[in-house]
Amino acid sequence: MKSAPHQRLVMVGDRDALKELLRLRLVECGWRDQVKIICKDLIKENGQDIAYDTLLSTVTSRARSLVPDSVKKELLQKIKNHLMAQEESLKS
Amino acid sequence: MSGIDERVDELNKKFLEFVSKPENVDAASKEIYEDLLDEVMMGFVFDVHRTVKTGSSDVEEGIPDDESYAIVDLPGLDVFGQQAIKKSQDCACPNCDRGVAACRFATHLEKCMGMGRNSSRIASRRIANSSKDLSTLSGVLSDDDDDVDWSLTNDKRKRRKDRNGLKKSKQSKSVHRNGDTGSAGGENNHTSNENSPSNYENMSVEDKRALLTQICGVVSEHTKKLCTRSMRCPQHTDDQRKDMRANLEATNNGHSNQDNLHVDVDTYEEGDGQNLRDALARWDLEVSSHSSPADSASTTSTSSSSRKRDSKSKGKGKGSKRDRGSPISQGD
Repeated sequence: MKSAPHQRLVMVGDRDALKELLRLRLVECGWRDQVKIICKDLIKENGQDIAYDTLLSTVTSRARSLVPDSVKKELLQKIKNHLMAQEESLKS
Repeated sequence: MSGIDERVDELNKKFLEFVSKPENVDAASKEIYEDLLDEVMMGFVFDVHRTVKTGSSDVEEGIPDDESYAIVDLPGLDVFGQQAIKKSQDCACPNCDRGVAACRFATHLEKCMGMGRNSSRIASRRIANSSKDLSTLSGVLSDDDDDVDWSLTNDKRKRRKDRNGLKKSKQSKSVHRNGDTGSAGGENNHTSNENSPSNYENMSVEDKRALLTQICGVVSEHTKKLCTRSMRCPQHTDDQRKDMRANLEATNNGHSNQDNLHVDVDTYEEGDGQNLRDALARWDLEVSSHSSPADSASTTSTSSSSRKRDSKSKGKGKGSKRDRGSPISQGD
């Protein structure tokens, strides 16, 4: 059970839009290619039989730090704006 | 339905409560961001994992080259990294049991055993010489025969072409003349056979003239033959053709005895034919009007045939002349 604001976003349908935006930004800034390279390196080290879960867990920590600040800030700002807009619409 | 509405109302209430504190909003947005990032990253990593598992990454990036196929680029070595060593192979001669370098083995054998290229060449030459002695005469003859054959056929072909062309024009011409005078048609037709340029010297002046209206007719200096091409043949100039015709007229005037006589006879006969016809027509008035043309035709044909016998008669003149005979009567 996620938090209330999260559920609110899902209910209104903003979450998908935000996700698409984030995906687009990450592809644009080359983050996806960096992640790919990290994955390939890991696969080379551990052989092709590496499990998806181990791959994801090892990649995640490094990938998070690689996200550009501008993208992170933009996304945070947008999410906040959406939440505020929801609040306004509920209050009125 | 009411249950869902209740839950939505409850959610909205919770949300308003939560959002009312600004620090909560920041925390919530960060949480949501992390969540989204995780999802997106999951997608990417899953893509990579799948391409590796299905082997399509090999297609995208290619299989790394095997070291053993790398091209070696070092001085003194070939591309495989091997030293270029020249081994001189030795062959043992079966005759004298000496080791001979492979490249010299053939020449050594030739000397040592008396075999090899040169000796076989000499032998074949000897055979060829002996057979030539037998066949020298026949060989030369056959060669000549071939030549003669070739030139003959060539000539024949030319002549045939010529004749065909002449005949065609002749026929059209005689058809034209048939309307005018029967005797002229007959005359023309009977010469058609002799009109070939090879016969030129023997032709009467009239025939020569007729011939020269169809072909170039310039006598070449090398072959002493008439040019049998059309009047506009590019090999000879108009002046040459004019000269040729002028010459013809000159000779015509020079020894006009026979030819002129012939021409005179011809013209006379035409007139004669006309006279005859007139006379016959007059007679026909007495006999019958229908038989007259046939009669006149027969008379003209006999006269022309007799004339033909006087001049050199050749080949099919008669048959074709008969053909002419009937249209003449019809023309009349």
